[in-house]
Amino acid sequence: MMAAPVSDDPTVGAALFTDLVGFTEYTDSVGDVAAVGVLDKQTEIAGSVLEAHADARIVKELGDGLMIWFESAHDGLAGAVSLMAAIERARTEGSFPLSIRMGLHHGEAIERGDDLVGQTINIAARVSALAGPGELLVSDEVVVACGAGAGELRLSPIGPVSVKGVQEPVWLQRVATPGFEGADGSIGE
Amino acid sequence: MVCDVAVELVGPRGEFTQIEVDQAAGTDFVGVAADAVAVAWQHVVHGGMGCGGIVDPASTFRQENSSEPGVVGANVPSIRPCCRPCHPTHSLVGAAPGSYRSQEAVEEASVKSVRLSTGSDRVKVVVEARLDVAVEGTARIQVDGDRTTVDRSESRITVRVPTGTELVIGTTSARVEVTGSVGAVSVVTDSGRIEIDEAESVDARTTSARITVGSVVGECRVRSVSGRVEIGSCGGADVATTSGRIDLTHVTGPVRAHCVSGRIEIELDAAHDVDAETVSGRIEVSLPTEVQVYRSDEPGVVAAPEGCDCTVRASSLSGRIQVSNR
Repeated sequence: MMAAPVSDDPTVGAALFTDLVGFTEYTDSVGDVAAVGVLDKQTEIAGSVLEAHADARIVKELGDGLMIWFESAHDGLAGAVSLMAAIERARTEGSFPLSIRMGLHHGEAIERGDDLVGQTINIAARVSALAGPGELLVSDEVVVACGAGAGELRLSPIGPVSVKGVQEPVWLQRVATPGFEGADGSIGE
Repeated sequence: MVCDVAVELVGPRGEFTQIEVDQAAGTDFVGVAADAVAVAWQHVVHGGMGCGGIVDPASTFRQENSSEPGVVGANVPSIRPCCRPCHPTHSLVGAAPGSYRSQEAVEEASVKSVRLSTGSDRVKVVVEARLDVAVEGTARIQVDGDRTTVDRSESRITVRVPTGTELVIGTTSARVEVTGSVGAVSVVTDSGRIEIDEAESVDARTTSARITVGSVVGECRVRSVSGRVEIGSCGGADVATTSGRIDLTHVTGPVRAHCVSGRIEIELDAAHDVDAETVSGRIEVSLPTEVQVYRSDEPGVVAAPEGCDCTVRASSLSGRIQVSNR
């Protein structure tokens, strides 16, 4: 088996991880077929949202979650807010049963075939794990990279988290998203 | 230790300057230099180097080239060796050049937020009637305007802050204890335990730490995987756990509670909407006797119809649900 080709130069962008909250227990309650239907619905919603972001792509599905790559922090933030809004809307309409959590980080990654690897990816996964149902957490790197573009969002400091293999703690912020908090989630250019 | 140092920063007032004490540049002076900074800022960093603060009023050192960050130490008189190994780097960032005396520093002090980043062991924040920030333990302290950052702490640390200070705390596995009344407080830790007395608002996240919050004026937002969550009173709550039990009492605002397999108990003191959801855990919601409740099974909280005071949506795939007046 041949190894996947690895790019010489790192690419810069934003990695978004999503995770369905309580998916394992949900599967246990409703069965595998219904659970797979939820995964399909999630992929469908994500695909629909990402159509508006030409540079975004679903890198891979990770169990009940997705790893999505955006070419810029701004696009990543806008895409994440849109995806959260779409999922919450589907929940309100009754067409999607579970909450989603998300984590977004900005930095460099190495392309390995269709996959992406590196600390940026590891950190984004860790950020996602700290989010609660219906929450989007982003690192300070995302906010800094977005510059004034993040100014229209309501951000709340969460705190520093340590990530294995990363010396300095990663400072996180919570993004107010449409739904419970009533924020519009829009992002200016 | 017998040394008392006042810091005099010489240079145009208002320009950015930085004092940096580098242990490698003069180990003997680190403790005193730390004290010097502490005196200048009225114990803003007292004990931050783990050396205590001993003062000799006759001793003054000058940081001549104040527009450039510099290393302090070589010309400090009346020095005694540091009592034990200190943190290699200590910096005070953002100080305006000029002469600082302790009493003046107290009067001018303005601390709005403190950011703490530590590893394991224990973090204790004591809120008291003061105008500055004091650190007991080994850590790096940075002051940037009204924000103080304390990090690189490797052991137990106590931070004393003014009433109402906003706190942002992150640890790997330390026990976090906040006593007194703070402003907005955010805490992230993997494990350990989180205890908060009183706050304007709370955001606490953990994997397995038990979270106990006394009284919160505004919203209390908690995320936990397996730790139990107990909130004495709050003006609203948004709590989610995977398996940790959720206990909310004396709630005076809307509640959103989500738990996969743990039990949820909510006791409201007034009519407010509730959205409680579990997969397999039991849900109990209790409201005052006079409150007319609208029970909804629809996703999301919907407005209560005429004649009802609030909407309670409680859903569980397999857990028992009880909504009652008391």
